[in-house]
This record gives sequence, structure tokens and C-alpha cells, in this order.
Amino acid sequence: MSGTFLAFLGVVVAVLFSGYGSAYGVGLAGQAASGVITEDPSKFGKSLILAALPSTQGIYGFVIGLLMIFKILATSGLSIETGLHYLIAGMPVGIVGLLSGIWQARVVVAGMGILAKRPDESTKGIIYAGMVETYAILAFVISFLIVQNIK
Amino acid sequence: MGIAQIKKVHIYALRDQAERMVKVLQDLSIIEIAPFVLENDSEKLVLESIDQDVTQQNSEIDRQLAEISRAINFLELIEPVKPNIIEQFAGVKTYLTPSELEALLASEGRLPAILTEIQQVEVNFNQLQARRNQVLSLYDTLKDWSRLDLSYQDLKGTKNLQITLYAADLSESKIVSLLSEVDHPFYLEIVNQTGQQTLFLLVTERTEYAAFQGVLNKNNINTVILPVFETTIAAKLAKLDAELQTISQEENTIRAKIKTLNQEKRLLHAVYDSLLSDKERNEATRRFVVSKRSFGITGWVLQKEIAKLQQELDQQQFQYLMVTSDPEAGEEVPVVLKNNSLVEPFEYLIHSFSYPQSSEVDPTPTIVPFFFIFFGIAVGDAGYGLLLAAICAILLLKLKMGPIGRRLSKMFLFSSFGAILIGILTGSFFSLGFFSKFGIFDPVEQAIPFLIIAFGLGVVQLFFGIIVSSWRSIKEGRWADAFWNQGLWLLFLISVMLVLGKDAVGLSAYSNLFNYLLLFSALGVLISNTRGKKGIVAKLLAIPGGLGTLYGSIGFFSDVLSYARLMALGLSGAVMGGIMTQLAGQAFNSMPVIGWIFGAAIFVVGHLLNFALSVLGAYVHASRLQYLEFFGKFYEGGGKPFTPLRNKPKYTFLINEGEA
Repeated sequence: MSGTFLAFLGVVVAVLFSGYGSAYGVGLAGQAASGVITEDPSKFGKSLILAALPSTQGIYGFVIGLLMIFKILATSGLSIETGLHYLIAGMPVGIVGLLSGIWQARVVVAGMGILAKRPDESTKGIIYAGMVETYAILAFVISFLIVQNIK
Repeated sequence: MGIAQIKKVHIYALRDQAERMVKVLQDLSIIEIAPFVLENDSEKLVLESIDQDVTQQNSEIDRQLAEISRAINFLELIEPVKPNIIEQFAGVKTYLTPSELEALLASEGRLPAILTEIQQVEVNFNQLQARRNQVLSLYDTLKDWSRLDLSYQDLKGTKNLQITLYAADLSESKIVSLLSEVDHPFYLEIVNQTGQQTLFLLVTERTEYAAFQGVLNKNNINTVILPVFETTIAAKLAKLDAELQTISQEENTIRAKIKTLNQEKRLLHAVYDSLLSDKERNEATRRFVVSKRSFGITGWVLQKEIAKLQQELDQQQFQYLMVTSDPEAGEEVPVVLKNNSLVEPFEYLIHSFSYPQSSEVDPTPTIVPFFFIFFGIAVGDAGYGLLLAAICAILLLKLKMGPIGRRLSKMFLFSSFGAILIGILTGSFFSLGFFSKFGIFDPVEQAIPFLIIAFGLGVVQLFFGIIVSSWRSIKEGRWADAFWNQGLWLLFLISVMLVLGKDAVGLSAYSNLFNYLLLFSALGVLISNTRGKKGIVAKLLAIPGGLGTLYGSIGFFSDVLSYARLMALGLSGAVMGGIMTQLAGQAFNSMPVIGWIFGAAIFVVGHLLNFALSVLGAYVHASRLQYLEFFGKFYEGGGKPFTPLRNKPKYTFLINEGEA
């Protein structure tokens, strides 16, 4: 096992899990949004905003993954230890992205209920869903800082 | 700036003018009708209840509304209006000028005839669909047997011969071998072979029929009984075909009729909305107090609009008595925010959070600079800012929107300048390399300073929030309260930061000073908690509570951490944008023409995607920072927004005479 392999494993962890979380999240949110639309197609715009919220985790993971790739390709002959650094760097954004994507989707689904019944208040549903995102953001920041500090 | 002055108004007038007056008030849209509160000494009044009348009238209106909306829905179902991209979001409306609306409502008499016609068309249409389904299912059953050249009469067989039709999931040879098990003569004709199924005709002697039937049933081969047809199946099918043709023709005539009826949609929409207004008015009259000859209204009116109200009522020649008074202490007064045109659009953020109570300050002006900067940082690209500004400008110029839509568009228009500003500072214009040298700050390369800036902005906003929370004390001249409650707390937080961060800012030399400052301010906070407590025991008992206050600094710093999102959003947006531009550049340089097209496509689609996500994230998180972190320091909310009696159209949208 080489350091480069471990480093790419870190990329995979970052992109794979957060991507899964977002895919699951957007999927769940999209189903709920479609339910709202069958009742009232004019709510498309607002439901789109809600349904797009869980998509950010995947992007955070992707950004981290890409930064890692650039950095890995720029250095040759990674040591095992450096590889492990990359691996752990991928974990926060990957794992928190996975869980927060799923939970954010659940909040979004509940928010679709607000949109269906009290459309004027749907902004509050957006804010609730945004609260879940905080932790994906914190994880992203930490992953980013770890990547930055890998020598 | 702040909350507009509102007055309580009582209007008394003669009862036979009630209906006209409510209509005038509704069109004015400046008075919120409140329940009339009777004084204690008014028991002698002889009051009448109009509740039952109102209920009756409104249920009649509801019936008409349901009828019209059914008609509208039917037209919509058959001849849907294709919404354009803006209408996808804003909804499809019928735009009318006041004179057009008047003209439409003047022809309201035509409505019953139109409704009956639509109903008739709907019935015809549904019958036609039912007939078509019937014919189609008949066609389906017969078409597999189309090669059968016997007439329906022939199928009944003769005196000695029995003719039966079967459908089997077996092949021909299998069927033949099955039938051969029966030791009698038979005639077999395969009519059709559809996929797995074999359709066949069997002729046997009537007396032997039971034996054959037994064998076939045992092997799950079932008799088929065809629906009635006259001559041959082929002839019947041709006939059905012809019938389908006529049905299609009839449907076309109905559709053409629906198309002409569609032109009456404007009338339907106008009448529907006018009925909605009637209903709204009726509901308002429930709050009146009514006697045999007169009635009274209580309501809330903006102070500056009282003169307008009076003028209008005079002009309409009402005989009335109007009394205005200030709201009583402790009364829940509806709230109207009043801000200059630069701040006003940001009222949208308050509107979607919670209105201030009438005794609170309006927080709108305090969030404007922060929202502007935060939104700018989170989007972080001058190109995106320009794009957003252009979109908002087009919406404002081209689209007829209600006040809330306009407010939202203006808010984004103003905020987009924040993005342009930050984009200029970071040299980011669609992440194009050419512009990056003009920037003075690179969020990706200088990520740590970026994070510190985000925290710094958080500290600034949170400190500002603490100062705002002391605003009322300061305004009322209670400086001591402001000092003890907020001043010491600020000092404490500052000294905590100095003690923890002195090395980072190069002030280690003053370490002792900071330690003493921390100690003093902490003591100060403990003491401030004992203020207002009587007696030494109560004061001592309050000290543990003070420790709790000190512990609250953890909450403060976790609030500051939350501002890391600004850096994360700005950073991820910048990296994504950079990738899009890089990919587009690679495609562009790969080969001529095709590469250029691909490069341009990647550039446009990629940046649009990143733009949409950036703006969404910026909006959600910039407003969240106001709602949770900033408002948590001083703002309660829970006020009741001012909701004047007005028309609330569903389908129509009034525009100025010139705009049509």
C-alpha cells in the first residue's frame, strides 16, 4: 500500500459519502416536492429552492476531493503517513456530509408540508433546513484546513 | 426608520350606508378592521346580530366560487395555458386595467349562460370519452379474432354441431394432441396466434361436447365468448373504426368550442375575484357592531393616512362620525414597518421571520449592512453579482409583481452589489484568470485569513446586537442599566478574547493587564446580576446566577463559530467556479470550433449551476445568521403585521391604464 493510494482513498471518502448524502437528500426532497406540485403546480419555484438545499453536501465533498487531487498530483512519492493525512482529511466532510444530507432532507420534507399548507411561511422551513447544513459547513471547513496543512 | 405610528379609529354611520362604506374602505385598503369592543355602559343599546346573514351570504358565495372554479379548472385541463419561465415561479395571472375590470364585471350577466355552456360541454366531453373507451375496449377484444370469417349467427352452430371459441397458452400441436385424447371426431381451426396465446375454433358434435370441454378445462384452456357483432368481425371492426373517427371529429368540435369559451376565462377570473372580495367584506362586517339604524366600526389606520380616509369618506358623501384615539397601553397594535427606499426591500427578511412587537424597535435597518456583506461574501464573484443584478432588474422592469415580489427582487438587486464588491476585492469575475490579478485577496490561497475575517465579522455583528439590546435603556437615559447589563458583558467578552488571542495579535506584553481586565469584568458581571435584589441574602443567592451568565460566553463564542459558514460558502463557490472555468478552458483549447462550442457550453452551464447554488446558499445562510445569531441578541418579534381590509385577488392582477 502506497501513500498515494491512501491519499486517493481520502478523495474517495470525501466525495463518495457526501455525494451519497446529497443524492439521497435531493432524491427524498424531490419526491416530496413532486407531491406538492401535483396539488398546486404554481409552487414549483419555492419547492425547487427547498429541494435544492441538500445538494450542497455533495458539492463540499467534491470541492475537498478536487483540492486533494490537485495537491496529490503536484507532489510525487507520498509517504504512508502523508497518505493517511489525506485519508482523515476526507472523513469530516464525507461522513458529516452523508448524515447531514439525509437529515436535511427530512427537514426539507417536513418543510414541504409547510409549503403545501401555509405557503407564506415556507421561508421558515428553508431556515430550519439551513440549520442542519451548519454541521456540513463546519466539517467542510475542518477538512479544508487539514488538506491545507498537509505538507 | 422604524415602526409607523398607528391610530385607533371608530367610525359610526347609518346602517343603509354600511355596504357602500365597506366597499369604499376595501378599495382604499388602508384600514384594518378590529372587533368592536363595547363599553360597559352600552348595555342599553339594542344590537342586532348579523352573523347569520353573513354566514348565509358567504355560503352562497362559496357555492358560486366552487362553480366558477370548476369551470376554470375544466378549461385549464383541456386547454392548459403554457406558463413562461417567469410565470413558473410567479404564477399565471390575468392582467387587467381598472377600466377593463369594470367592463368585464359589467357583463357579469352573461356568466350563468357561460357556466351552463361550460357545464354542458364538460358533460358532452366526458360522455364522449366514455364512449371512446367503450369502443376501444370492444375493438381490443375483437381485433384478435378478426380472421374469423363466420357471422355471429353462424357461431351458434347447427342442430348437431357445436362451435366454441377458445384461448390457450399452448402451441397448436399441444392442443391437437390434447383433443386427440378424446375418442371422437372434431374440427380445429387456429384463428390467431398472439404471442403466447393461441386462439382457436373447435367444432364438435353437440353430444360429445362435454368430453372435449372436460379435457380443455383441465388444462386451463378457457372458452371465449365474443360480444355481439352482426355480419363478420372484420366488418364490425371497420364499423368501430368509423365510429372512432366520428368520436374524434366530435371531440375536435368540442375542443374548438372550448377554445372559444377559453376567451371567457377573463370574465370567469374577474367574477371569481370579485366574489372573493365580497366574501372578504362580509367577513369584515362580522366585526362591526350593528343596531337597527346604525353601525360602528373599529379599526387601525396609519396616522398619516387618517386624513386620506376622512377625505375619501367625505368625497363619497357619507354621513358619519369618526373618532380617532391613540392605542391604549398594553393593547396589541398591528405593526407597519416604515423605512427609506434603500432599507425597505430588506423588510422582506423581517416579513419572513417575525414582525416586531409594537413596543420593539424595527430591526430592518440593523441587518441591511450585514446581509449585504454576508451575501456578497457567500456569492463572492462580480460576474455572478452582475448576472443577479441583471435578472432582478429585468424582473422588476418586465414583470408585474405584487409588493412582496418587488420587495424580494429589490433586496436581491441591492445585495448583488455586495457580490460585485467582494468580487472586485477578490479579483473574481466568473473565475477568469485574467481578472484574478486585480484582486487584493485570494479566498482559496488565503483561506485562514478568510476564516478569521468571517469570525471577525461575526464578532462585530454580535457586539452590535448586544449594543442594540441596550438601545432602549440608552434612549430612555438609563445609562446605568445599559452599563451594568450590556456594557460589562461586552467588556468581559472583549477581555476573554484578548486573554486568549493576545499572542496572535502581538499584544503578549500586556498579558497582565488583560488578566486583570478579565477578572474585573467577570466580577462586574457577577455583581450586575445582584442589582435590583433586596437584602444581602437575595444578593448572595443571585451570585450563582451570575456564574450562569459568565457561562453564557460559551454560547457567544459558538455563535461566532457559526460565521465560519461565510468562509465555507465563499470558498466552495470560488473553487467550483474555478473548476468550471478551468474545464471550459481545457475544452476550448483542445481543438478549434468543436472545442470552442464545448468550452462555451461548459462555461455557461457550469457557471449557471454554480451561480444558482451560490445565490441559494448565500440567501439561506446570510438570513440565517440574522435570524439565529444576530436576532438572538436583542430581537423578540411576534408582532402582528398590519393587514388592512383589501381585495385579495386569486386570478387577476390590476395594472395601470397605460401598461396593458
